[in-house]
Amino acid sequence: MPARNNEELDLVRRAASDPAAFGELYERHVRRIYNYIYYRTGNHHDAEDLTARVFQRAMRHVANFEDKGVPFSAWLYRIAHNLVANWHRDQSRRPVVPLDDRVLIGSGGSSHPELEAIESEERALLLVAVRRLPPERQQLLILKFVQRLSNAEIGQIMGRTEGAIKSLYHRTLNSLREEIARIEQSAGRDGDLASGA
Amino acid sequence: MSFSGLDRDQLIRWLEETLVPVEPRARFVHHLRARLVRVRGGLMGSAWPLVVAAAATLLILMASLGLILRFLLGLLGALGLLERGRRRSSAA
Repeated sequence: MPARNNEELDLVRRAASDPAAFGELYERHVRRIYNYIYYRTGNHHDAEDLTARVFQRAMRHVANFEDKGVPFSAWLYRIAHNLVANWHRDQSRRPVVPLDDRVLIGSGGSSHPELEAIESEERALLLVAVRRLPPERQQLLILKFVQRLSNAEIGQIMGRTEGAIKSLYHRTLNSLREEIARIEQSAGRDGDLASGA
Repeated sequence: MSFSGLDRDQLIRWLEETLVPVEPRARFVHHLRARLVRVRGGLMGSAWPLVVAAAATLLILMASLGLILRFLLGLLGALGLLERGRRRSSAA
């Protein structure tokens, strides 16, 4: 791991003056950054747009990157996090949140369309609940489940200790459960109103 | 299906099944890389005109300095000639 870090640091240093080195860094991180943004925004169009902006910003400022023991990916995630926060601020002025059908993948290839529809609905419900969590809790879930990172790695990216991440994860699962219950309750109330009408 | 009584392990399993990695469009990945490398190359290329401009400015400054020095020397020479002429006329 340290050898890999040193090699990456060398690449980052060269990236300030060598387009090929920056291209190599891009190849290493583009998918992870895209996934992070995709799950934070919920659609491919904005994920592409914001991913492009993350790397454009990184390219302009890569010469200012300082080695403080934090991986380069943490620096990229921070840029992505800030851009997504701006995006959400802009969206709140235009409250339209598209939910891509691509989010509902991984249904297991069932041959029953009804089952698939139910599974899709369940996934959509979970994603809605995840998106209602505070940004840092969403980030934690994405890094843990989509990127499959350890608590120590997540801690490096989020600037917290491993223990703090463990405790945040515990609280996140609890609040996610509460959020799911809240969504179900409000869906039940809407259903009752619809059947009563 | 109700999720109200969901326990921790069930929720984790559900998250594992739902939060799966997605693959960006290959075309997007390649186009963005090409764009970034081109811009980066362009930024590097744009350093050369700056160097040329700085060198040209330096050259012009040096040339003007030479011109000013020559002008001053000429002026001093003219003053010297005038002074010599004045001395000769006063000695005569």
